[in-house]
Amino acid sequence: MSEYHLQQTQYKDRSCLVAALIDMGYGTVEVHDVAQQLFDFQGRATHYLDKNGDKANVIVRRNVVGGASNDLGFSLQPDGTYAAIVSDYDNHKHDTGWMNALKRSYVEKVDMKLAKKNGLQFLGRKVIGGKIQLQYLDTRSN
Amino acid sequence: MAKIITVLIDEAGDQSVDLAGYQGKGCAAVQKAFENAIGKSVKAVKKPDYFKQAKTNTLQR
Repeated sequence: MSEYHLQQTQYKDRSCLVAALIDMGYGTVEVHDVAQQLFDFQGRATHYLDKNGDKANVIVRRNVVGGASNDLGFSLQPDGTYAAIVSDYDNHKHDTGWMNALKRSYVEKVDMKLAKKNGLQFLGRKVIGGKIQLQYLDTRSN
Repeated sequence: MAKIITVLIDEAGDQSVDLAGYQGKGCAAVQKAFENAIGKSVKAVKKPDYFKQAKTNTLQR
């Protein structure tokens, strides 16, 4: 089925979300200030979540997702987060494991951005027991 | 003592922050910054240094 469902996320930084999607293997990610229409595997505009059309601000088109997939979208919510719009058909691909991997990548990018903004010196990255470890040196006076 | 921030991101994408070398409020400020960045509370591991400043303040009263 192509039916879309909305999944709340904590993603607020659009550029980090886009970078995380690219990390997940999606080489082309559309970014729109004004949400754009999503399409199903046959190229039909969908209306599952909104009678005026399912729309998203960050979109991975179906040809990029691959196979007989539908568009994958992230829609800006009133609270500033980007909710994922995933079709039932693509649940096998964009499952909990995939969503967790996307979140890991996103959090890592947000942390790196925060560290840079605050002048923290990046010491290194390791993967220990399945966990990503990032270390920074804080040379600020306080 | 050098102030080192160690972030651990688990397989579910949740993170904890280990702060070494911070004293008192400096620790809370860094923790808050990481919380704001990912939009949820961050589990912080407070080292003995954290309590040094608080103890000094108590003695000054």
